[in-house]
Formats: sequence, structure tokens, C-alpha cells
Amino acid sequence: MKRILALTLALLLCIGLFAGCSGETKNNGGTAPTAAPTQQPSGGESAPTAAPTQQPSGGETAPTEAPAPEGPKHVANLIVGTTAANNTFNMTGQKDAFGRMNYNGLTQGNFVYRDENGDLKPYFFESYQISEDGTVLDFTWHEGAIWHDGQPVTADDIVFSFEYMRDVKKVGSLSNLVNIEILGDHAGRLTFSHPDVYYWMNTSVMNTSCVYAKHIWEGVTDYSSVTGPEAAIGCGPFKLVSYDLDSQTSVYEAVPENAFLGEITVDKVTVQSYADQASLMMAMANGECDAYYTYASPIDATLIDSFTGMPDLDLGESPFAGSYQMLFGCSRAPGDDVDFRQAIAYAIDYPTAATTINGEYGRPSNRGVLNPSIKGFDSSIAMLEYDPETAKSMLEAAGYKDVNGDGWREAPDGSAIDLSVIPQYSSNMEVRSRLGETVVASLKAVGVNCHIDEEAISNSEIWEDKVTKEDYDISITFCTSGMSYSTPFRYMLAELREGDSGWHWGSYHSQELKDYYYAMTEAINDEAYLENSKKLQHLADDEMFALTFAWQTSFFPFRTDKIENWGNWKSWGVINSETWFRITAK
Amino acid sequence: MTKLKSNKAMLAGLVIIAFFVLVACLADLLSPYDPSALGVAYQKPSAEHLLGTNDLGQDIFSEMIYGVRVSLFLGIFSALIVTFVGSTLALIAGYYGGAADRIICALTDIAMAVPSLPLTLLLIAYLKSGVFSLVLAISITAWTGTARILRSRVRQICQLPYIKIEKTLGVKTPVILFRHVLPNLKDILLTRMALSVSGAMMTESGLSFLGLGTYGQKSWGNILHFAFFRNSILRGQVWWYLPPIICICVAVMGFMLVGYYGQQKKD
Repeated sequence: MKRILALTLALLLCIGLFAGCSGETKNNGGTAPTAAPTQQPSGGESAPTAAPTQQPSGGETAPTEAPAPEGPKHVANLIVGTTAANNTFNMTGQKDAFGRMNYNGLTQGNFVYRDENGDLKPYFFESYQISEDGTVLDFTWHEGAIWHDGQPVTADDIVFSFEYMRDVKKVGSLSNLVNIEILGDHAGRLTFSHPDVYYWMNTSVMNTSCVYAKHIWEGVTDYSSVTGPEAAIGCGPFKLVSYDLDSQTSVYEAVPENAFLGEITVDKVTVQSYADQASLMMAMANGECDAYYTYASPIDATLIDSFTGMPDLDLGESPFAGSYQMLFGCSRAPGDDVDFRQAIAYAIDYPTAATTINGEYGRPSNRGVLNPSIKGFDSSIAMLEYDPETAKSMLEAAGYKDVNGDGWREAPDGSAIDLSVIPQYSSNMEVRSRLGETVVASLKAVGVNCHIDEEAISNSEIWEDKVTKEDYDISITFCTSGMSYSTPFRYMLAELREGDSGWHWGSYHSQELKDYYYAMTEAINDEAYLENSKKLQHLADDEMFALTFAWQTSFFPFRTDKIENWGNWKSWGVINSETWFRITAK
Repeated sequence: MTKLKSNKAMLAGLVIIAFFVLVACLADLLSPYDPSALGVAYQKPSAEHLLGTNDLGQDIFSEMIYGVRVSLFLGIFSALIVTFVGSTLALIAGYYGGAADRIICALTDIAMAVPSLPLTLLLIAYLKSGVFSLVLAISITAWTGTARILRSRVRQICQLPYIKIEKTLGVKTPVILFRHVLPNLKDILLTRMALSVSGAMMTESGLSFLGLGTYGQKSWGNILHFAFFRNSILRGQVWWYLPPIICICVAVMGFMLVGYYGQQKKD
């Protein structure tokens, strides 16, 4: 009996083993609705429905079978490697690879995009005009644009989108939108009660605004929890046709009707997630993917050296607009003392911090927080200096002396100092942890006792609670490159204007900071923007409520053997809003 | 001493342990630099920095020396807890038998059925961070093996005539347990403890490697974590990632030699 049982079990195991090894595919997702994405198990290559081209897998970029005689040579399958997961496919968020790719208007109809030079350009909008006072936006949109389920994009969808973003999604930059009018077949007007048109447009490129299908999202308030295939339907130049959670792959096909910037020169996009940057880079070196993209996360400088000089691999080097900051806890002693803050600014070992963040490519920053690659950067502001002796003498002069001889300085009132340092919680804590160590070692070297708050680094909720309650002396944060218009000053605000919402981690309660920041982001022209940006940088220099550790170089590698006409945008890489319309097969 | 000399494996284990204990005690004297002091990053091994420097310019050799402290402390402290809990439960179950035995055996079976690594990770996520949380998380399921083995031995001992006579004569239970039963367990206890130290050190290294170890304190697992994260393997910086691996292996081997061959000595 036992033998029969054992044999049966062994047989079952063998069957299971062979079934697992089978290359045959079956559709997990059942019959998909028209044009809706299907979920496929490993190895499943979706059959294209719209593109009349033969599409080999494995990163091949063969030209189409019957290309237009003089048209561009289409890329049959662009394989984008990313470290973001391929799990969530929802138009309303920025989550995972799908949300990140939509910063580039992959499946979304983003209204505008920021081009290589940082200037706003129309995308779903065909054209737009802003009134002189910055309160009215007249626009037209692309005739013939369709949703990925085949329905046309209508004027009702446009009105619905703005109402939905303002009333349901509570997009802060649309809080002063008072009127949405349709002026013609493909024209409309937005009217704001405040001069917020620029503000909205500049923040909308951060994937906060796009056209939403009324027939999908009407009545949906808990939008982020929608997981069905309809959640991925947009009116961008590509539609999601399949995804495979096991192999972490999603596949997108071109939608010729939504050719916002001219002919779509990529027939298919495959987004492949990798466990980490090292495995992704090895795959790229082997030609398994064509380009790297993960929003605001360039390839680590310690990794890039191993791939320098490889044939057909461009490292995609450019100045990075993202940066790590150190915020002082200004609402309590000793961080509320500007002399203390100024002294500490000399104590931080910036060269080490720069190496930690960006290897040999990192450079110490200036005192004005912004990077040279950010619009409005003021080069007249002095550089941050690492000078422990100056820090010590400034601390002495400000009354921070070691009175009791224990090796640590006391506050001017004689109380002990033990600063709490909280690196921002992240799933990838290594650089922040190392910066925390750098800060602690730097401060200890000048006699200022401090410690890392271990609670804050173990849990995102605890970190957020502490940072929003201003329960810290020094906070280490990161500002993504996509925030370059709002600048890192956004996160340094202690309070937001009425109606605004979003992250802010500052503790420097200053009306000047708030006024300059909103005057900058809501500026109706470049002149006003630059003026207020400079005011903010000088305020940071004078008051030293925060500083940037280092200026960085970013790396977004791409292969050059099969595809040409890449556009490597600063801080962004070759996968951007224009990629779908400009790259061609070699 | 003669017996010990004849058991070369155990002697080697003891020498290894003694070496690391000595290094841990004399870390302040042996370490050429403050392990948290910043310097020039990514330096290769030289006379100035025997094992080079890490991404913060910290001297890796000094980190390794101070790392012995954390690794040994966590290993030994966890092993003490594991041994204490395991032997207490074993004494109760083995001596009293009956319902107490059944309950403790059931508890042991349940604890053994729980996958220890996921539970440890879960505890670390929920407990307040720090060394003692780490010790607790490591020890929480590690006592089961010790408890099960010792219980069998206690039951064996309790069946011996002299224990039965003592019971008949009305000798108090604590006297029987601590004077007569426990001393007969010392070989197994020491063996299990040595093995528990090695197990705890491996767990600590694993957790630190995953970035879940003690923050700000140098441990071998922590050094390995940052070596890996800063791509030292791809960059061929063997002086960074190899020493902690070697030290973990050698220290664990030391305790295992004592554990396994200590048992053999008795046999």
C-alpha cells in the first residue's frame, strides 16, 4: 500500500514538474474585453492586433514588413528595462513601472510635457495660450484621439477630466479652477480665480494630470483601488495589451490615432522589470533590453564603472537635478538658532557625502540648495565648505561650549545636546543611512553629540509622523529630478498655502519662504519665476534652514546597436515623452 | 587537559573562539582607527589601511575588529537565552512528565513548525529597533532543538535508580534538579550552547546583510551589506567583501567544532 502511495506521489510530482517546465501558455486573465490588456503567464508573447508588423521577441528591432517607402524605419519592439515592479496598472497613480512610464505619456494623454530644455510643450493639447494675467488657458486638443477601448475622446471627457481632478483627486494646482468651457469641436478654456495656469501646467508634467475617460471613471471615488483592465485604459500613444506578473513584463502596442507629436515610430514597447540595477545592467550589456528607465533613479555610480567602455552601450551621462538634502529642525533648540545652523554647515564632510551619493562623479554643492541643472540656479551663491575648525570656532562664539568637560558641547543655557538625525524612510535606505552616518561622524568631530533615530529608519509611518510633527533636529531627505520646477524648496515648507496638499517636511516657519516659494511656482512668466527662485536660494544661504549635500551626475544607459535618434535628456534619460516619435531602427 | 589535547578538533575550535574573544576584548587597542571616522573612500589595501577603506572612507580593518564585538555579543547573548529557555522547559517537561510534558512538547512542536526566518523578519519589523530586539527575534524560535534534546536526556536521568531513591526519600525537587539532573546535562548544554552561538551569529549576519541588523554598529553582516550594496563584488573589491565572509565562516566553524567534537569527547 505504502509503495503504491509513494509511486502515485512520485508520478504526481513528475507531472507537476513537466507541467511547470512546459513552454505552452495559457491565458490567466480569461477572455479580455476588446483592446483591454490580458494577463499572460511566463513566456507568453502577445499577438499584436493593431500593428501590421512581424514582431520578434528578445529586443529585436527589425523594420516593419512593409515600411512606408520614405518613412522612418520603425522600431518593432523597444524593450525598456526598469527596476520598478510590473504589478499595478492604474491610470490614476504613479505607482510601479506603469505609473512611472506614464510620466512620459506612454498610455496617458498628458496635456503637456517638458522638453529637453525644460520648456513646456503641448502633448494631448494640440496648442494652448495663456492669458497675460495667468488666469485663463485656451487650448485645443488632437482631433481623432481615441481611448484604448476604441471609443473617441470627447469634449465631455475633457470637462469630466478637469472636474474629476479638481473635485475627486483633489489636485492642489487645480484648487482655484472655477470654470471649464468647451469653445468648439476641439477647443476649450479653463478659468482660474488665481493666476494658477502656469502652476498647474508645470506641476501637471509630474504625472498629476491627464485626460480621464468619463465612461470609466465617472462615479469612482476610490480610484486607486481599481484593478480591472479598464483602469489601464488611456488615450496615450500606446495601449497596454498584456502583462505577466511572473516574468514582470508588460507589453504595449502603438495606437496610431494618438500620434500627438507626429508619426509613432515604435510599434511595440515591452517594459521588463529587473530585481535590481546590477541585473538590469548585465541584461543590457547582453543586449536583452534597449534602454534603462526608472523615474528619478539613475544607475548607481558605483555600478556604472563596471560597464564603462562596453561596445554599443552608451552610459547616458548627464547632470542630475535630483539631490539629497539636510533639513534642520528649526522649531526647537538648538536648530532654531541660525548661528548654530551656520556653524553646522561648516562641519559636514561634504566630499565624503558627495562620494557616498555619487562616487567620483559627486561634487559638493553651494549654499543655495539648488543644482546648476535646475532652472533659476544662482551661481553667485558661495559653495558649501567643509571646515571643522571654522565650525568649532563659530560654535564657541555662539555659546555652544563643552562646559562640563565630557567631550560634548552644551547649549548656551548649559543643557546637554543630543541631536536626533532622521534619514527619510525608503525601501532603499542605503544611501540615506550612509548620509546619516556621515552627518553623525561629522558632528561628533566638532563636539556635537547626535544619534540616528533608529525608530524613524525602521518604519515609514514613524518617519512620516516625526517629520510632519517636526520631531527632529536634522532630517535627511531626497528630492527627485522630476521636482526640478517646484525645486527641493517644496519639501522645506513648514506649512502649505490654503487648498494646497502634498508632502512637505520643513520646520522653518517663515512667511518669506512660503511667499517666495508660491510666488515662484505660480509665476506667470520666466522673469517672476527666476526672481523668486533666486530669493529662495539667498534665503537658504542666509538662514541655512537646509542644504544640499552634493551635485550629482546621472546615468540612464541605452544601447546604440539597433536603435538610433535617441534623445538623452538631462536627469531623465532616453525614455521620455518624445521617444515614441523620434527613435528609429538602424 | 590531556583529553583536550587528544581532541584536536575541539582544541582548534577553542583556539578560534579564544582568538575572537580576545580581539573583541582588545578592540580599542587593536583597532588602528575609529571605525566610524570618515576618510578617503574606496582606498585599496595599503600599509596605512590593511584592508582598504569603504565608501565612507572608514578603515575596513578597524570595522572588522569592532565587528567581532557585535557578532559575538549577539551570538553569545542569544545562545544564553536559548539555552536558558530550552533547559528550563526541558527540566520541567522531563522531570514532571504528564500534562506539563505534553503541553511543553506541544509548544515545542508548534514552535518548530513555525518557519523561523520569516518570523524573525516579522519580529524585527514590529519590534523597536536595537540590539535587544535583534536578540529576542533571533532567540524566539531557536530554543526548540535544545528543549527537545534536553528533555529526552532529563527523562532518561529521572529513570535512574538514584533519582528514584532521592524522590522516595523526599529530597526536594530543586535539589534533585539542580544538584543531580542539571550537572549531568552539562555536556549537552555546552554543546547546544556552542551550536546556538554559531546559529545566532549566522542569523545576525544574514539579517544585517539584508539591512535589518543593528544600525550604526559595526558587525560583519553589516559590513557585507554595504559591500554588496556598493557593488564591491562587481568592482572586484575583494578586500571589502571577503574579510567579513571569512570571519563569519571561521567564527561559526570555531563554535561548531566545539559543539560537535565536544559531544564526541564525551562519547
